[in-house]
Amino acid sequence: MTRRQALTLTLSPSILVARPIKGARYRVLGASKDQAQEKNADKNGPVVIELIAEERWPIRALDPILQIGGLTLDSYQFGNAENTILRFSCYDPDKLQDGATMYVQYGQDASSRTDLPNFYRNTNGK
Amino acid sequence: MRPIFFVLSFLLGAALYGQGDPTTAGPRKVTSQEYKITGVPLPTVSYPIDVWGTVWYPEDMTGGPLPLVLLLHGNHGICRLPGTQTDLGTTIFPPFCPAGQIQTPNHSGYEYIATRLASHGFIVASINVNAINVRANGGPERGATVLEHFRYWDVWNSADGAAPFGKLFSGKVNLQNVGLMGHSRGGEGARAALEFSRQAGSPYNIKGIIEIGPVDFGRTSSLTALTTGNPTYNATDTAFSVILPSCDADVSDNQGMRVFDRAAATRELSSPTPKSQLYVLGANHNFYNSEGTPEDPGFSCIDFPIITDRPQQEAIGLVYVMGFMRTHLSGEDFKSLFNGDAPQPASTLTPVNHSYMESPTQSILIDNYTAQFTPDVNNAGGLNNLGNLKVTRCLGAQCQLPAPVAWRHDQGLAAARLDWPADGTGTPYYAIHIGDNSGPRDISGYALLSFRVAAAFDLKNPVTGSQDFSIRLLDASGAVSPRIAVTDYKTIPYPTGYGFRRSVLRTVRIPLTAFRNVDLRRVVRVDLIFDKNPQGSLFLTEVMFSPSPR
Repeated sequence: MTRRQALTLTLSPSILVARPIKGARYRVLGASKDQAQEKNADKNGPVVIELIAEERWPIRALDPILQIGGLTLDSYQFGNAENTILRFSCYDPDKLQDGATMYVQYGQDASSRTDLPNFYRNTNGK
Repeated sequence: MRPIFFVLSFLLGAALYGQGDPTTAGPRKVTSQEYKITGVPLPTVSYPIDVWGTVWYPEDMTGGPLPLVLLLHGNHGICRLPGTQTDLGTTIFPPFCPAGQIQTPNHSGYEYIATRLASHGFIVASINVNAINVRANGGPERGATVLEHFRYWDVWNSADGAAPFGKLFSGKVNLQNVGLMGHSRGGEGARAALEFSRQAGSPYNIKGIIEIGPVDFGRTSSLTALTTGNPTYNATDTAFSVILPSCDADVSDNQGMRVFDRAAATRELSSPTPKSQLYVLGANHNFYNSEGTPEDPGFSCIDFPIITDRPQQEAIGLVYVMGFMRTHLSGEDFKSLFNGDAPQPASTLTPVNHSYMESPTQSILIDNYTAQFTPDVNNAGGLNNLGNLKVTRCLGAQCQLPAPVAWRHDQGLAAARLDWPADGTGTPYYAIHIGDNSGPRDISGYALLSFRVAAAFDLKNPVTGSQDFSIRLLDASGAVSPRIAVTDYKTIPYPTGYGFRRSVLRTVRIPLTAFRNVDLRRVVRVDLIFDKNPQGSLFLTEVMFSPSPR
């Protein structure tokens, strides 16, 4: 290794290796009956946020986590057999704030972060 | 001196290496059988699951009862497109694969380990946990599943046996001599099983757990475990080892190092047992399971080539899992694989950085930077003096400062950051007085001086090669040992890793016999002398005297 290469490597604390998921967007749905039962949600059930992508959401040891402003959602399941839809449930819908920034990432792996359009309950990110 | 040392070291290592490579095929012919009991309720799962696995066992099970090893895979796709290794999650729980897809045989991916172990007289069952995969978290669910398999093995071992094996295993299985291997989420699941077994009165004697690239969700301080109640599981009072792939693109923060940190720091309540961590340079997450699809094709590792040959990585898994089980369940001697005292087996082909704790109960801790008045006063009660050196004590995330040091050790682990030169002149040094009131201490009953050390992400360290310094002992008469170079034993490489550089502590173990000319019954000081490089920045902790490997 040359000195120049070494310095280049030394000065880069990280390299981004995982990558965002292509074409990710979202839509907001009502409660899923099964999830509502499982989580003992209130009678109105959770708000379900579907993340739709142009490619598969990976399956990793680390769970995907959806961040909407200061709200963290980690209760999820796939929404279709192709695994291009991830479905998160929010059991505290009052904490969902219109205009909040929104992204999903796997655990604390920041390189896997996929940014989404800001959250709006009624416009589904359009 | 150094070439001579290396020759002697190799010869000593070869002698210590005992019975050689643990992966050689054993004498027994092996066969296998799948089992699946459907619709079994579990307390931590909201729907019935399948108790599903494959067992590999010797055709000749005489000489038993034989030790039982359970293997547990991680979170992976559970439905496969036939003829591919494209694995998908499902939308339906209990899991159900859509038409045109088959269940992914995730448990079959360790056949290369199971068959070889069985040839040495083990009964090895690999558990399929598709039923609880592709869900958030899963430590408690996996632990409960393992315990359910134990219960079935108890029944199959009974005089009457049970379906599907009949009396095949009656009296053949030793449930008081059990080992667990957990990969990825399976690692935390194995620890959960240990905890659940203890809560049930320890009906099964889990002699050891080895984990590969495990998660440690219960210890994650943010972003996870918000809704699923995953507690922290520890590997205490049992032999423990964790393999950390340095290029793990999945558990990309090497959470398993926290498990070792806690295990090594916890005094055993019942059985003194060794703990080890094996940071395998170049290894990735998935190649330890032959059914695991490759990592992200774009993945890469900083400064170190990723292992792209699956058999090469399986050979590493085979060495350590077999060495672990044969040591702790069969009483054979492959300890040097785990403490790093001997050269690695040729089949591993890539450097492995060891961390090792013989037994917290049986070692004398000198300093782990948790004492009152640290870092000026150490845990042994002596003073730490320094010259032309800056010493900063850090705990958990504090060790990340100043940025961009990447520190992923357990939040309860403290260390000293040593930076030299400071503002003074002269050769930098760090003098650790090891006795109460700096009085002499008898360490003649111990075999090794050991400490954990890692290079910080700092240009003061060599980017290639190794950082280095010297160590010497002083006794109460003023006698001084020769200076021992750390790199005569272990290197201190520049931080590397997947995605970001991380400082991973490794253990340096120096035999006390190397410190000639001092009376080991009256030692007063350990000196670290930074005379090898004009500058440097290191993390140091867990300075101790340890017994010989048991």
